[in-house]
Amino acid sequence: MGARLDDLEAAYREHLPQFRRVAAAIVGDEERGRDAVQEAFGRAIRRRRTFRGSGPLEAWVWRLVVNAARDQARRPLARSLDELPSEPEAAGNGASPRGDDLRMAIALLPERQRLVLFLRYYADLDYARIAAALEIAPGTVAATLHAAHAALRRTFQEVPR
Amino acid sequence: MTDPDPLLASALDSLVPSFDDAAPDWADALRRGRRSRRQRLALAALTAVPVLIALLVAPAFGLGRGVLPFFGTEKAPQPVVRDFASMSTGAPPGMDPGVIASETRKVGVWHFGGKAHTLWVAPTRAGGFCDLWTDGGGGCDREGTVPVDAVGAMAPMRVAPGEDTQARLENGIPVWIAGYVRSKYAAGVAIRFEDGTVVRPELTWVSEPIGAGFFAYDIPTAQRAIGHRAISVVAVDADGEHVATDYLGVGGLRDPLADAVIAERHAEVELETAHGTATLYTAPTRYEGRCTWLEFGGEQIPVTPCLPKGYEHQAALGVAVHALGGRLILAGECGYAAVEFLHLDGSVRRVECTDGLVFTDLNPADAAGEMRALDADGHPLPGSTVSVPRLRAPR
Repeated sequence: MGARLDDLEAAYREHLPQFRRVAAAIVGDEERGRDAVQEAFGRAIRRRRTFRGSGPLEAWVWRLVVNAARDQARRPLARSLDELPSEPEAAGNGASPRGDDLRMAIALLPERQRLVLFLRYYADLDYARIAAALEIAPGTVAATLHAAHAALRRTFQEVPR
Repeated sequence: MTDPDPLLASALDSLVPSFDDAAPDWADALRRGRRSRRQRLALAALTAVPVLIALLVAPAFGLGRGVLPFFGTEKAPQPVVRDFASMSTGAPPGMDPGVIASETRKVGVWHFGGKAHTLWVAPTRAGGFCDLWTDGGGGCDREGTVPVDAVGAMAPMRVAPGEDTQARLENGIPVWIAGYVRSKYAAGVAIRFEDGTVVRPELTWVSEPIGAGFFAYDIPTAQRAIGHRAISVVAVDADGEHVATDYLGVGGLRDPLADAVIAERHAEVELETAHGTATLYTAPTRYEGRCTWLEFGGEQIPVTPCLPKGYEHQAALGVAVHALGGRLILAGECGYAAVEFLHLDGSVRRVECTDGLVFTDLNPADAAGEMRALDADGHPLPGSTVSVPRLRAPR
């Protein structure tokens, strides 16, 4: 079995923006997030013969990207989003939470909730694909995302569900 | 599935760029993937300097002990030495761990489960070791090839009337875990929980002839509930990649082939059935061990647990009868020269065991009778006779 180099390259080219986005969110830095993605694919290339094929290649690659980003962070994830460059406050009707407050609220989430949140919103993965990427049950993904939403709602009462 | 919250999505969008115009650099990924062994060694050497400095400085700051020289640790008192010596006393042939009890040492004292536990360790003659935590348990790896091993304690459980032992174990709640990983196979250890939480406990490495990192971990109260329990201890390499899993026996989540390097599997034997081919596969592990399973109709059917090197032939008779494609197939571990089917009409049929495995399809006479193990001289092993109908694997 194992993963083919062509398949890895295809996954890399097809999903690079999502990989970069999730890694940047985890690491808290665009450039180091980019490095994490490159390193993850370096690992994937080195270890492609160990891919067992018991799940989708995409899930295996996501696992490598998430792990490489966590390695790259080298510090508690609770601080990672604090270090992203501050963006202008989102324009709108006043219902959107302010960026700094949202960073803080996300930073206070447990790590698993943050990872599920990032994969759902920044990579647009469905529950099954998140479950496969993080090696947890789809039901756990649903519960975890629900908990993350609830925690963020508590912080921002003005964000309705 | 819950749809993304549009307001939250919008707010999150503002935090991290979309990277829609990210420029791929596949050549860089290839370079990283093909980093030569020499370069990696050079990197390791560069890394080693600060690590060495850290090891020299760390004791002053109480940051860790680096690698404990085993023969520099305190020798065990006589009562402990006698305990270790007793591990070999009366052991059945082939089961003697060969512990060198006189070299039992005190590796350290850990605090978990509300009390102090001393870890005693003694090498074995074959290159392994025996370990014993006071008030905690332990065991022996005679060969020195077990990649990861853990002992633990369960919270007191309410036992329902009629509940069997396995059910009680699966409903158990670990409260602490202690164990080791072998340094020649792994660089770290991770404890996995039912809810997806992963914890990397700190290891205390002990030098050769032990060559292992020991850990103990008090499980937080929040993880002592169904749905959140510790379920396995995983040995990982320097990249955090899986090497081996030791399941704690709780919960129902197990992958019996988790340790198998499937890419390197080998078809040992094939049997044609009315509904396709049943194939007995083996695959290596990343710790020199071996996993064995049956494949039929796209399904993987575990035959034996993945066994560390040197233990493949020590299993007595671990076999099961599988009903596949209209045939009955006996497969499993066989630590003897052969097995013999004893038919009801008094006739017998002998099947050789090869490389610690036995695999054969059964005729009606085999399936209705008994089976026993034979040694190299063809003599039946006392107490090895079993009823074949009782070997049917649950489906």
